[in-house]
Amino acid sequence: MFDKVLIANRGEIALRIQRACRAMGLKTVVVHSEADRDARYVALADEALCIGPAPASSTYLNVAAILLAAEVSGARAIHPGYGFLSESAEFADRVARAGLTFIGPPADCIRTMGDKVAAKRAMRLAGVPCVPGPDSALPDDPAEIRAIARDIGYPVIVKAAGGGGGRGMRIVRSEGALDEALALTRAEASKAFRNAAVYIEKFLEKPRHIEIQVLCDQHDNHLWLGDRDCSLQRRNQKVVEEAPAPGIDRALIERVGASCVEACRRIGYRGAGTFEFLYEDGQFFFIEMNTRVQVEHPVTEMTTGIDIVKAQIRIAQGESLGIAQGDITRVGHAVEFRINAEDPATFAPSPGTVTRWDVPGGIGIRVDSHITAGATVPRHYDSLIGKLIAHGGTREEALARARVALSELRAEGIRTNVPLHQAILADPAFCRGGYDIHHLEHWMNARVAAP
Amino acid sequence: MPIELTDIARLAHILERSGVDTIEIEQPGQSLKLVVDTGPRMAASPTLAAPAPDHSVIAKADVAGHFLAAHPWRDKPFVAPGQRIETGAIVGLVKIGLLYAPIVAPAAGTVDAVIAEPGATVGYGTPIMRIRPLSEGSPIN
Repeated sequence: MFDKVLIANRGEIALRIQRACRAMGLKTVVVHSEADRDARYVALADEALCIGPAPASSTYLNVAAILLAAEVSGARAIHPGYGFLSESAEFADRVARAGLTFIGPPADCIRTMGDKVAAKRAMRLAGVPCVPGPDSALPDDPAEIRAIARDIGYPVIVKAAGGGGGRGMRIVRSEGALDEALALTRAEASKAFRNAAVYIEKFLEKPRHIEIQVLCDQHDNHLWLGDRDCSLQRRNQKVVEEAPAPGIDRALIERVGASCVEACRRIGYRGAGTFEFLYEDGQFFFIEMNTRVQVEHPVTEMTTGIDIVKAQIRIAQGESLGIAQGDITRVGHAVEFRINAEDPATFAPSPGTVTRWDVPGGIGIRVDSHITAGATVPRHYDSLIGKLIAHGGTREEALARARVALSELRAEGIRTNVPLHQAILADPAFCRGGYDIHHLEHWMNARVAAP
Repeated sequence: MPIELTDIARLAHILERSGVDTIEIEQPGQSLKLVVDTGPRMAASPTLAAPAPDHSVIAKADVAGHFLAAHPWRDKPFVAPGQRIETGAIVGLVKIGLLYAPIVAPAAGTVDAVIAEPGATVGYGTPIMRIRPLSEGSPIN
């Protein structure tokens, strides 16, 4: 059992993990780059170790430096957060080989889910609904591939087996474009993911992005904590997320949730994870599983009252979750707005020093952010500087509280996307809910086109 | 045996050097609790705290660990203030578990001061030693 946790991440999630550790009476060690030296969460940690210069490759992605820091600090467990090394099976392996506890799933689960073809096969076996298309890499013979594509029916999408998160994919609308799309995706995949294997699936025109949160311990407790709708996206990046997904048959979601739990049982999953689905015409289609905590986990926490990061740590300590599926109740509705340091119109990153930071509050409002007045937003990393989460008895109440909170939030010295969120909250289609993953981009294009 | 003032001074010195902030000693008829200020517990290095004179150069740690001024098998530090050193000379070690990483002089010159406390936790970029570089044209020997 460990009593000191090394947090191998930065920004808001480093603070989120630190808060969970401290509330559990665990000591924290933060490793950081020179660019994050003066961050408040670094000062709040029991120990902080600067492990390198600003680039992530020298620090937050530097396995050797992180393992050496664990040795120096005496931390016996490592929480990888999200992004960076969180879904690296090799990192999980090396942490275990160093005799430390990786706060996450077993390395082989990460490896299986990292290979999108293997993941799809595992899901099919467990009865999780998948996108039409074979759960194997494509054959070499172009004629065979054409036959598979014809069988699925155009449009199809060519995806890299090693890809994910919207990277390494290409839509094909007719047979004439198939060969070229295959060649391009293969070339990109071998370069970007060092895995040239590609597969094809039915392309869905107007899907919603719905996901299921799971928690599994090593005592045969496999739970799902409900669904999230993350359809408001720009270039495959989520902008606003909510729980539960509005307007979907609850009985259908119950069935999908149960199938996710069954899949976890079969693959020996342990820890927190998320099954991502596309949802179209009343049907769910599995796309990928994320084997880590998600940025949007707070909306599930707000509606279920379950501390997901604490649960991750308890699971890693070998403890039982202590709750059964029947104990999980969902209350009200929660919406999360990702606050980015970027221009609200052009989306250009806006690093710099935050000269003023006034945070909203009140009933149902939660702000997860590592920013303080005087903090620096380095140019080297993702532009996410915080998350505003609004909870209410109903979706309408949550949105009303979000409007007030966004009007109170004040950030100076950098630009933020708060004005974009305020405009989104005035969009009737957003307020109705149930929009597809292309809605935000279409809506923005229409706004630009309007006089 | 009564605890003498000199014992307390010596204990305080040991605590300070080893980065321990509190010690309690109980003996029949007397007890002693010593709390010393061990300074910032973070390895987040006091870059700003050591404003170096214009032309001096700083040898810095490039890995997180515990700073050693001397080889663990020897009492004598690698270098002492006033000593002439060459570029690349080992001026200290960073201990990481069983590993020892050398801290090297970035320039030839004279050791001005050892900034880091032996035994202290240091991080990437923590200033270890201030070196007065050889002025231009001065003889090598």
